[in-house]
Amino acid sequence: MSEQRDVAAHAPRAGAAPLASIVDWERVGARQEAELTAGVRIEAGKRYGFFTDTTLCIGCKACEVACKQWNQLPAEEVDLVPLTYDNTRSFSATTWRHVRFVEQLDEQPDLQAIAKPWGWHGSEQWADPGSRWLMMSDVCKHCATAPCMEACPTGSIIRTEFDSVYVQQDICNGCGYCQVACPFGVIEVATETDGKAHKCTLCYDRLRDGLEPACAKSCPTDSIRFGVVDQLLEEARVRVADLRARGVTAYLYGSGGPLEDDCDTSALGGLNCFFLLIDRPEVYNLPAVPQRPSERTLRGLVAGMITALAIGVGVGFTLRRDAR
Amino acid sequence: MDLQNTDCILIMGSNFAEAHPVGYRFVMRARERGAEVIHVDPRYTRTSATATSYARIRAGSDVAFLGGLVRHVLNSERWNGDAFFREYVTHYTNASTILKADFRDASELGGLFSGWNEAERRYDRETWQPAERAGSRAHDGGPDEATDDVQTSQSFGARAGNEASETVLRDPTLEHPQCVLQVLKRHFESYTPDVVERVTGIPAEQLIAIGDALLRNSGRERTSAIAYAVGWTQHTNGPHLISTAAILQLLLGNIGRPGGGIQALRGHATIQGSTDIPTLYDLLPGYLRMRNDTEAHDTRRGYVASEAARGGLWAHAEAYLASLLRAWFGPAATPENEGGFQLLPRITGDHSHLPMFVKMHNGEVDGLFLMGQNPAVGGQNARFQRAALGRLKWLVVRDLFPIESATFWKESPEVVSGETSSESIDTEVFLLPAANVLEKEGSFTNTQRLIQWHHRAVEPPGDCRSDAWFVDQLWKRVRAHYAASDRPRDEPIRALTWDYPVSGPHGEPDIDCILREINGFRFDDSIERDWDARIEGAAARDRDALLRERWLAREQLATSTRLRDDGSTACGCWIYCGVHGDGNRAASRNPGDGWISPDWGFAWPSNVRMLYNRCSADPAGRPWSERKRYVWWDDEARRWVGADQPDFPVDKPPGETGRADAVGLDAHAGDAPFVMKDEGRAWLFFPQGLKDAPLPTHYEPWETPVANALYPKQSRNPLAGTFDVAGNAYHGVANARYPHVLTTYRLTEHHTGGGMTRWNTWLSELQPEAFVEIDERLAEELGVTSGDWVTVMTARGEADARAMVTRRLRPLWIGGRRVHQIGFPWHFGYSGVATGSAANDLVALVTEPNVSIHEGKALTCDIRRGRATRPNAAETRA
Amino acid sequence: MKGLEAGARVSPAHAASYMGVPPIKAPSWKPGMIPGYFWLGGIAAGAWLVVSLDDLAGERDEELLRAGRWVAAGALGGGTVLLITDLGRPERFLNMLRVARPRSAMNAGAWGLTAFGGAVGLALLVQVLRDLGGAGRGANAAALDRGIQLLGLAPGLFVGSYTGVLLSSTSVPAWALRSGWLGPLFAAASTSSGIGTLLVIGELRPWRSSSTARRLARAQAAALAIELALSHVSERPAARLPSRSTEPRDERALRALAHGSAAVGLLCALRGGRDARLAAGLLAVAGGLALRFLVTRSGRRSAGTPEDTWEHAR
Repeated sequence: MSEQRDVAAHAPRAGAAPLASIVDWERVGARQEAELTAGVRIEAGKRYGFFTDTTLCIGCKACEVACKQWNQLPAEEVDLVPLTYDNTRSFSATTWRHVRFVEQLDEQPDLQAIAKPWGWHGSEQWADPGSRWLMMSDVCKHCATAPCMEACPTGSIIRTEFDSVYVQQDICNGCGYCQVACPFGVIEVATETDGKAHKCTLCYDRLRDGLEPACAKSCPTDSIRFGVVDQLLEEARVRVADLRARGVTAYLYGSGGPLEDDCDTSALGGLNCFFLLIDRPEVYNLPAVPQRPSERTLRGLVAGMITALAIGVGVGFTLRRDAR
Repeated sequence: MDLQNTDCILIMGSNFAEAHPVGYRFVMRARERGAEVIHVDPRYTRTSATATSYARIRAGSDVAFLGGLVRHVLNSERWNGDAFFREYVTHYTNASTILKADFRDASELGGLFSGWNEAERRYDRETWQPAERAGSRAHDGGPDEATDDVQTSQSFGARAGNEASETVLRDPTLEHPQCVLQVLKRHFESYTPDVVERVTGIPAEQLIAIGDALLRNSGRERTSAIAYAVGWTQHTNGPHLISTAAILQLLLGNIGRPGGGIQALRGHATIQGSTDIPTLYDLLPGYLRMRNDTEAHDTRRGYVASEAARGGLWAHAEAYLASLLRAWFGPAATPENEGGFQLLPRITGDHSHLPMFVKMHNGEVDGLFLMGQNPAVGGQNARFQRAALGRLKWLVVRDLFPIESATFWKESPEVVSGETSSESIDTEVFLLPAANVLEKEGSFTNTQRLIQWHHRAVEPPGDCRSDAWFVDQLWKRVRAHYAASDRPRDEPIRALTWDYPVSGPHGEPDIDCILREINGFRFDDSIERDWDARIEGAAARDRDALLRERWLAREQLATSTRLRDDGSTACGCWIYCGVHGDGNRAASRNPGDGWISPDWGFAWPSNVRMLYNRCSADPAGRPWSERKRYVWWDDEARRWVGADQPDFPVDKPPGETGRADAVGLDAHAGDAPFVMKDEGRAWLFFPQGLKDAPLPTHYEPWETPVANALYPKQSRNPLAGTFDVAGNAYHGVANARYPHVLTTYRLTEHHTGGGMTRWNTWLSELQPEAFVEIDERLAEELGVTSGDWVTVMTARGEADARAMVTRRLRPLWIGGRRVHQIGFPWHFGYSGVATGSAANDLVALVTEPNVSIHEGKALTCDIRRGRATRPNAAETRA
Repeated sequence: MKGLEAGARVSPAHAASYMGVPPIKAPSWKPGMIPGYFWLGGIAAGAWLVVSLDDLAGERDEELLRAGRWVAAGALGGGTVLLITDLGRPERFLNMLRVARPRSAMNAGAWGLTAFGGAVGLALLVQVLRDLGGAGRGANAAALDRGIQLLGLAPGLFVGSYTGVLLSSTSVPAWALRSGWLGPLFAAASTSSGIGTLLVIGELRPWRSSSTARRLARAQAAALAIELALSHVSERPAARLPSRSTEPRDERALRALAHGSAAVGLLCALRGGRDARLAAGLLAVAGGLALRFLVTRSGRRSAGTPEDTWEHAR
């Protein structure tokens, strides 16, 4: 029996790869790989993120696989009712990129009664109310004011020199409070394995070595674009204007300010990873107005203590000995 | 990459976005530049979702649809009103050729063409030939028609017949009733929108809309492209589909122009490479035909007479052959054995995949090497193919994982269910672990003929080795085994050159040297003999260094025009000549402009990125338009210039007329762009090449829910290859027991038979098990919801999987009844991480007559709720 | 919305669901641990609060003080064990003490728990020494007791109430929408179950002073009345959540148990008499536990209901 390829090698430990030391690019005078692949130079102190243009996504899920491969995240046991081609369905401690398939297909008309073409978009699909299948590669938003980071009681979740939100695995105590704080269902505690919280690192280790994140690099249609957030925003606004000129109802989700009447991510100070969408956020399983839970904390704690004291005093009053 | 410049792309017979996501970036780029993207497919897929238009077609009715488009184009105002189309067609195609008066079209003869011999079930192609001036014949002693129908006719332009002859009658006005254009018009006249709707299920309005889109986006200023994949090829009339597309694109002036063309999407990383340097039984490298026992191939002279043409690049077939023989046999290629020709083995019949497995099933095959193939899952009628594997004496499987073809004797559904047992299978299976792409170096040739080099990143683990290492080791053992033999039949084995140095911890052969051999070099007998002596005299440890030194010393050829038929050149594949002309150009990595990028890899031939690009200029050599300028004649420089390497003699003026006494490209006029063709013009009508028709014709699939509405008397391809073997019954036409259309396909998440993907947990979690896609109405009739088990049935067997009820599939209204289409991905099998029933267990063995391709994309079936009665592997999991 | 003009294909906001996959994550907490901790921590805080206020008000009742300290210590110890069990490893608790982050209710809670634990521990030490006859009595001792109780008062108030804020400072709609109410509600429930525990102890091993039981019963009635009122009011913001309309039977039973226990407990406490007081105490304690389970469970279900998030985050 000859030695075989180890199948189990594809089920490695959870967690990010060890950090490599940062290269002094100025000193070595070399071009970073990211300059070739993403046209961006990665430097500490700048704000980096993703602009995900969902109208360019073709649903290949290369980003999901590239993420798992680079970060050595084990696959999940999937045994689901096949509703669509999306079998991973949601984020988890080991799924940091997730591509959603939103099938919006019209109800089937009665064939014998058809009077006009169906199963057909006409020549202008964009403007046509016919069937469509939206695809969206979702990821941690790396919020400007990140609820997970604010919720973290240990200081494990930090903001890096690239303005990304990063979980330091050696400090995380697995309390799971970040998991309920996140308005996007991104971060999760790996209860079955190390009991710690995991999520997208914006490929911190790659960024330190001048490589763009694995998902963006693997995207064949440039639906996921990596870069400096301000530049990405500029690009994105041009793109939105272009699409609108073509009659597409596009808008940016997570661009910071209250761009839309009832879609507002400003409570989180904008998202470093933002999206171009063409339907309501809820269709993509995103909240229209994500809240910042910590806004309720200080107020709540003080109010709680004051009420507790009031209750105590009130109750204490009844405790007084009978003044007969 | 040129797709990014198209104005309209028709994607058909391909799930481009899902099966070729990387190439699809160029489609998306085109769409973002305003191009229309039209997807025609039985299923609404990720391609349909990202296209601008989608039309739902019944699987297997593509020729009817494309024929409808041809008819629409020919009858349109635009086509008849814009001089561009007429100019392009008159100069660049054989539209003006006048056919013999006794040619009769299928529309007249009920689905068959003139020349049909019912007794022998074959065509006599005499009536398909061009009419000639009385009493003249260009070159007597040309190809003997009588012999070429017997076996294969996979000829890529050689034996072009009489078309190049100046005695052929032509009518440049295209009005003569027997001229090709008029014949073509009559042939497709019955493909009206209403008939097409009845056949395909595509409403007439949609056909017209798509035809208009193509017309709108073709002409001087705009170009349209067509992309297809195995959804077109895997039919009993597969070549007809591609031919119709070619006719459409030629009529629209979209060949050889930027943003135009027909893109044959390839399903494997280097499947293009494996036809260029073929794994096919009937071809030699560079599309030279294999020496064939049933043809006049006894002598080299006979071979050349039957394979070489007078005009075009095939005129030099003997130089390509002689160079190949020199590369293979070196000094053993002598005048006595006709430069090595007599060392070439001959094929004696159809040894393509299905006939080979039928023979195997009959116990006529002893052993089999399987390298990169998984027929136990991926083969048609996979159950039959597994049984065939079980009748081998020995089987060598080289793969990354223990694939089903290596485990069939213990894990197949037949063994698990007790139908057969491991004890009754005598096949000795050797499973040898293979190195993956990152663990070896070599080249890939992709869809656009681009040869790209990849380097080794890591050494393969454990006993895993590259295919090259295995073949090298195997050959050395075979050679040693026959070293002492003096039988003439063993002579080719002893004569074959095998001078590749090995290096590294595992003794890997040097792939760079192999590429040098493929590229070709000047062969000097005396120098070679000196080297042989030096190498023979050297110590064993120095041999590899000396072998490599010799390779480096051999003068590499820069272009195939330097190949000679006198043995002074050696070349492993003439079309690849130049890939190592000036260093390894496959490894060059200059991104360039992201469009032509001439210094990124090497495109055969001669780094031409677009074939027949002479068409991008008008007959006078001027660009058709500024917007679509690509290659044109520079009158001052007296040469062809442009963005790409001209696929044309660079200094031949556009006005030059072909010389009647010349051979090769010199016989072509300056406005004859199709350098591979005998007369330099593309064919709208094929007097040669196809055995089963001179014009593409709609035949229903071998198993079809309806009779042929276009040719009621001839529903199916008269020459389809069938196999009367056990376990391979056919449903025939409109069999009520099997009312639904079944189509098999791939998903983005897995690759072919799953050998590379179903063992990978990351890919397996994305598509964890087999499923069957059915439309909502059928689901309602069956009482099935998503997740329920369903069983799909054909005469070959049953396969079960969980149902995915989806609106992406919808029934069609065909021939007055509702026809449901059922989708079943064919990746899955009984071994690995992601498992499930093999869809190919349902598919019949049936082949197309010209290229022996099977029919896996359209057949009929029945479906019911519940598990299969034959237990399969999926059940043991549940 | 502005970006999606009329005529364009736009889905109705609340019709959307991605195959029913929740857009947010439910808590990862191990079942029972966290509500159990809330409950025990509440008992500790409630008991401490009551005896401290009693003591600070000058109504020195050494017996009650002693009982209160033991209850606080026992409950807090038990609660901490549950908390650490949920974290997995004891040292993981310490990770929370490496930083001070007032915006993190969990971090604030860790510090509050530590401070409260310190005060309770100190009180217990003094109590044990005194019971062994080591520590003195008299004015100095009373001052010492007051000092210790005062020290633990603020952390105690905090531990009794922060757990509600901990829940409402999340993205779970059923909790977030009740922000401003869960803290007070938990504070009231803590007080009532703290008193309840003392009541039960008093009835099992009667107080030397006959008034103690009566006083506690009065306090119990007051606490339960406040709890009931807060419970009613605090549910209103979350009543519009779609998950409420699909409340399963076991959750309805839990709700009936929590509210019913408090109501019946209130009646018993008002009625007086030994058995009634015992019942009132037991009901208050049980009701406190049911309330914590109810709130965590409804939150978990709310997190699993996409429409709840659409209702909350808009």
